Amino acid sequence: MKRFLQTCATLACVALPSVATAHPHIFIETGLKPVLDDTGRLIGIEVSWRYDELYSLLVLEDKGLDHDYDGKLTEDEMSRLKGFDQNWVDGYAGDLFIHQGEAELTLGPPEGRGTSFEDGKITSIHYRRIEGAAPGHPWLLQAYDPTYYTAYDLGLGVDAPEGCEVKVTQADLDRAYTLVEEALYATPADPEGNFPEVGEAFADKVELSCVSG
Amino acid sequence: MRQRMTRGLMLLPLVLGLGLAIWLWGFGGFATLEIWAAEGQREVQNAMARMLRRLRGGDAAALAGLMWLCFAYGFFHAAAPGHGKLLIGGYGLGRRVPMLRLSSLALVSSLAQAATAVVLVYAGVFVFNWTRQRMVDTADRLLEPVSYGAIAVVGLWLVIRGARRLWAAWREAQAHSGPGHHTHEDGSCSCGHKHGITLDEATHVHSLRDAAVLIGSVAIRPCTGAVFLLILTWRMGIDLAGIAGAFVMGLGTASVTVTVAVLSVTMREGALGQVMGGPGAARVAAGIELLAGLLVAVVATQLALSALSLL
Repeated sequence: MKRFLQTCATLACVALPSVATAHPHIFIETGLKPVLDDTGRLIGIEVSWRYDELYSLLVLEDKGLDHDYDGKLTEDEMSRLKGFDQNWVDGYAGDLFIHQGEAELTLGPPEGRGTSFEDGKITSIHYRRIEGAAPGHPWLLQAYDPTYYTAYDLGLGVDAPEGCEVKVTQADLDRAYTLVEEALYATPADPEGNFPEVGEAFADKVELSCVSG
Repeated sequence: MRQRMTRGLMLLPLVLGLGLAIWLWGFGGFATLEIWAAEGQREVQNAMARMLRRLRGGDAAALAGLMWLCFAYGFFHAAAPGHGKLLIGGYGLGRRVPMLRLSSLALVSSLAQAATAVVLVYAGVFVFNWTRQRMVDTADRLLEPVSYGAIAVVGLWLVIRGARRLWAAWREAQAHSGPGHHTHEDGSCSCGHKHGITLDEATHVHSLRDAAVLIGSVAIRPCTGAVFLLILTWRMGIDLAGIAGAFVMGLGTASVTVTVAVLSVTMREGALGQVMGGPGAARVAAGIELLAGLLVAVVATQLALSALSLL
């Protein structure tokens, strides 16, 4: 009987799904450009998001743009596209998280810095103010959607100010997927009924340290 | 000698299955598979958008390209997560079902899933006037837990039936103890008594109803990718290409679920083959059904709860 149990377990497990959250539908290449003041404090960050082509097409169709499908937008169309991803609902953190030591820094609302459309991909840039950062200490930057519906990578790079050092640690995807499985099959499920948000585990870590001016 | 070789062959799928499991769990095979599938989905997604543009721009040749991409999307989608595999695999283990029939079930349920996406989007568009967000939310937040719930019910059903047959086999053994009564010359596991349900009868009597339930519980939750595609093509005025694409995505998904179906049947038959011909076969079969059902029920319930908690 034991062998049959094993057989069942094996097969049922091969057939097991992961969970919906381990499964992004939107892919975004992210670019980060931190801004420091004279004293070396982090005062803001410019964030570029380049959407995958399918999602870009969805957005254009939602807004009724690029009707000739030539992949080019008129000036009028560009202005209608502007800021399409910057009306954030309450509680949305903008999928960017910055820590200094233990403290999480508060990021302001997005300020539009332009939108472009090239090679079928929409790129949208916004700036966010940061208050309360202390000078001289390294910052940890991570771009991710906690629910992992959207997958962010650092495809557009980190553009650090002069005198800063950037260290990128790639996400340990092995660990990330293990985490998903453990969360999925943990018994009993979280009494609060919260499925742990796995997005963070899939995010690269950017460590930014700047010589204090 | 020949019998020994047959036995050895029957063990083969078991060994292959265990090897696969060891790779998946022990050596990070799952992560490799999932990374590969996610990367594949991303590539396909980009290419799909380009193909849609070309198609809309009047390039008829792009249609074939789009269909191929839809198939690839369905494949990658099913290779990563997706619960259809769980159900088909669990069922293939739990019930004695011919490979062809289970494979057809896998195929039809994937196509039915595509049909759900079509119905959801076009009902959303024409009847309810929903926004894209609303349609995607309906698929992800409402239909997903419902679908997992339905799968859990199928699991429970397997458990109950397995338990009943186990009970029947035990009662029979009590009533006519002694050898001879249950062993048949042909080595089949049929008990030959009308008051006990045979494997064959069980397979036949319930198969139609089973099929409907199986297909239904997979099909309830449409794939978000298909919903994206359908909304896009509707907006772009190439509805038919989108509908065809959704079904081709279903075929891509089926390429994975059918593989799982074949694997599960092969493994079950391989395992059963070891005891076939012995008086215990019916009991063992009922036991497998019960265990597989339990597994499906437990895992699906867990998934339903996780999906619900995301609301």
